[in-house]
Amino acid sequence: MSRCAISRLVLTTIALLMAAGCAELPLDNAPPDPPLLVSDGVLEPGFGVAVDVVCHDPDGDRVTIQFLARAGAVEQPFVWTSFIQSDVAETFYLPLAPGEWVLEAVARDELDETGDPAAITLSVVLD
Amino acid sequence: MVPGAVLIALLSSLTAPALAGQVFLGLSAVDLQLEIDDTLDLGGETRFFSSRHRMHAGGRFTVHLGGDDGQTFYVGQFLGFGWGQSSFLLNWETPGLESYAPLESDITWGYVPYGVDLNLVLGDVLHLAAFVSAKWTFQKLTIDIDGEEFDGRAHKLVGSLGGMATVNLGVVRVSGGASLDHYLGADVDWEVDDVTFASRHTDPSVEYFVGVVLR
Repeated sequence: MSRCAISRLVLTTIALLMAAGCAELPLDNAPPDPPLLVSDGVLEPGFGVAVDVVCHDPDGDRVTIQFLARAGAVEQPFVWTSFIQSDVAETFYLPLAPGEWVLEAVARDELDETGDPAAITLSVVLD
Repeated sequence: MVPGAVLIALLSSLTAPALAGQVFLGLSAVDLQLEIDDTLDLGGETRFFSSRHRMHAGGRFTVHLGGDDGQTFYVGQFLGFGWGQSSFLLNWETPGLESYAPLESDITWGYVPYGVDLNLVLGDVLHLAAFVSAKWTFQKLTIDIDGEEFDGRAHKLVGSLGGMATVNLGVVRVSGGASLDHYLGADVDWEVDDVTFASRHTDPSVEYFVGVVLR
């Protein structure tokens, strides 16, 4: 087989391989750690209960937090917060009624990976 | 992707026998482009942004002109076309208030490069080239929102600076190289139905390519 013919064969083979190619490239990503939650449970009228949140993402991705408050059979879900930086503390105000609550929080990173939840017990009292 | 590959196969079969010395074809089997800054901003209170840097995978096909047999140093030129695709998650949020589930998105792109290269031919083994080029680039953005697809289109002019090396392995010549792409004009508007996305490209992108050369 001549060099030209072989070159044409290589070229055509590559062209056919490319026809099936252009796949999505995989990206390694780790889910965020469970967020750390801190709150004194004081209900500030007009604002809610301040909850400080710090979350570490192994890839440094920004994360969004979703809270779920439970009091016995009562469940109060919240929408996903806006994105916050990994390892940077942010304060969120949750409208919770006075009483005993179990506050759960889960973090999700920008690549849609969700980590394990964290929970604290809150005694919410009026300021 | 299929029409491009078919066209390449057709071109190679039509043009290969006539090629000699002053004209040669370059075909990249791997063409990767890393976009460093890929924020998409939507006017209003909602902000869209992709997660991590985007990497495009595709191919490129170029015709090189210039030089004579036995010439060690010459200035040539090239033109051609390239194509590719990338898929990514598009995050969106109302800053300070709420985020939403990421959207599946992808960008299909094609470009037409024209460039001038500075060539150094070392025997029949090694061919080095530095090049500067301009690329007219077309991109189609597709966003899937609850099963409904929204399309956007953008045209960009990109300036490139790069280098390419070709090694003659006897049966086939293998080429590889890299370039740094600069978007000429930092802002690119995406027309997505009645909404305009402004896409900023403030940093250069890196493109790598590996392929074969047919003389």
